[in-house]
Amino acid sequence: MKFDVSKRSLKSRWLEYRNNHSAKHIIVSVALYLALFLCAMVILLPSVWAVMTSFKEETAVLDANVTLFPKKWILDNYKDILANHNVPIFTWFWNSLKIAVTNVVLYLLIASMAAYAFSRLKFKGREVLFWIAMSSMMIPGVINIIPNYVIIDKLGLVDNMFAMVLPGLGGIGGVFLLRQFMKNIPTSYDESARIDGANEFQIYFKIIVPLCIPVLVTLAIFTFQGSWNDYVWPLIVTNSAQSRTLTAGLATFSGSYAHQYGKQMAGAVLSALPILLVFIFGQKYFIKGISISGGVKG
Amino acid sequence: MKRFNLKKAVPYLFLSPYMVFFIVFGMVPLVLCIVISFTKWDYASPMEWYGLNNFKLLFGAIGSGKVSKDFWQAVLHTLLFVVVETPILIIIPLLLATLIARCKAVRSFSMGFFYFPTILSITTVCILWNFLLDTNSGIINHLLGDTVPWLTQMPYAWMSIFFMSTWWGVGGNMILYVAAIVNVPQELIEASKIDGAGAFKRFFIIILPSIKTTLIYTIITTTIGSFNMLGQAQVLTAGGPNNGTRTAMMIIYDTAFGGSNNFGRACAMALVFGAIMLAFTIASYRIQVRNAED
Repeated sequence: MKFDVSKRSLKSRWLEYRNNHSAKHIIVSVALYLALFLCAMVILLPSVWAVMTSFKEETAVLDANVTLFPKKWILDNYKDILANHNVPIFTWFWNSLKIAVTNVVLYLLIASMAAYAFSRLKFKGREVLFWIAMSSMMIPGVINIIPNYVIIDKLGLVDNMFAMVLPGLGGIGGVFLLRQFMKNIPTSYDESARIDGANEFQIYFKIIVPLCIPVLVTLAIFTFQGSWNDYVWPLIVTNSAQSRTLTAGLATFSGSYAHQYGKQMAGAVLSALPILLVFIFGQKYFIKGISISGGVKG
Repeated sequence: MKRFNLKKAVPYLFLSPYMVFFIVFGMVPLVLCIVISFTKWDYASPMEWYGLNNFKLLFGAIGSGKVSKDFWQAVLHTLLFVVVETPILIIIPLLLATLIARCKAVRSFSMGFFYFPTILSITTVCILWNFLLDTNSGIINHLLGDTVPWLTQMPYAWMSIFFMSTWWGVGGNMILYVAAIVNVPQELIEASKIDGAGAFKRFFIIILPSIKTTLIYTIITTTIGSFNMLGQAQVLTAGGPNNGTRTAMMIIYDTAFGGSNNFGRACAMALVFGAIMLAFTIASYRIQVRNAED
């Protein structure tokens, strides 16, 4: 439904609204919107404060009469950080992006293939295999960390980006989500394609995968975010600063700029910007996807 | 005949890439962890059979008891975090989601907006709050007109961790709750209005039971997430003051990768802690399902 803003004045819309709702309803609504606004401020203000601080001189940050907006706007904090070779923020960012994207592509492919087999193909041991894999969800991740390090090291993958990709590909969560979704696709689709002479790979790729796109998008976002925010595993499997991800690399960042808060905030802003942009552009799909997967779960 | 066999192999072809990763990084590590826990191993030198000694150390049966004391203290810290933070990360997002679902004009904008902190990495969030909570130049103390040692004294260090974790994590469950609340059938809500149920009554009688599955799902994921808390304690408070915020994940990490590389002991710790985590998660699931059925 589109609102015809041009032809109707605010006043006439207000009158219509006023006619359709009781005074109590309107007062409650105003109060609720106000409450929501206050909650939003708790989220927003710390972030705005950080951004403003990143443009301040260090002496201004520590000033007892500190103001929200810088008295003098400077870019030195950003210049300093970008010039510091010990904190290669762009390398870290690039690593994080490469790893997250590889993770998403490989996991979506592997998990959707497995989900296809689990949901639409008949073979011996199907249910047993699926429930064995599902029961692995019960094993706390902490148990896997040390042995996985040993395995990754024996494979010679320490400091290699694939050390941060491969272990996640064995996760059952995405397979489960996709299987639930695929189960709801009518089997008549496959059958008519089979009569037309399509083989299983064609059915999977040309019929099932396109129908799964909404849930694949949701899974892609969750996988991306999980990879991007992974903190402890990249610290374990990287030795050199150059091969770290942004999340892991920044862990030691504040130590190298102790009490230089202008620079620390510049680093925080730089680290947040890329993922923020991804989120702003992907938000629409993300919320749609959540609503769909919420429906699957609920 | 050959064609027939090929057709039978197709499902396994679809399955095999996943199964390879599942076995190598999901099953083998479990077996390996159990094996390593019975050894003394610093990774550089050959493994040495150690029997049950790692476990005996953890339960204070042998040694000076320091290992045991440190470990259980860290486990208790983790339990404290789970018990306090999990309910916070359920109740606040639930209230917020109810509010957002009601404020229709800004609903999808709000969903994105409150989700924003959750997209930030834990290290970015820690750097931010480390500044905001600074005793002398932090804005929090500035606004309070006080010099509260937020990060260096108890109980403030824990309060800071709870507050920051809530700020960071509120959006994750909120967005699932909004999606679930919006999906509650409109007829149910209309019917309850006709019956004269107020907003509060409607929330407890209609909304909560309708989003039961989402609630149980989020309680379990949030509990597991809280058990795995590491970044907050490691980056914001560095486990301090006096190891007061050191968590189980942190002591396992330090034991395995913090210089001494005591893999055997760390694996034993992981198994014991994993068992506690599993027992806790199953118990809380049982209680919830029973409550939900009543």
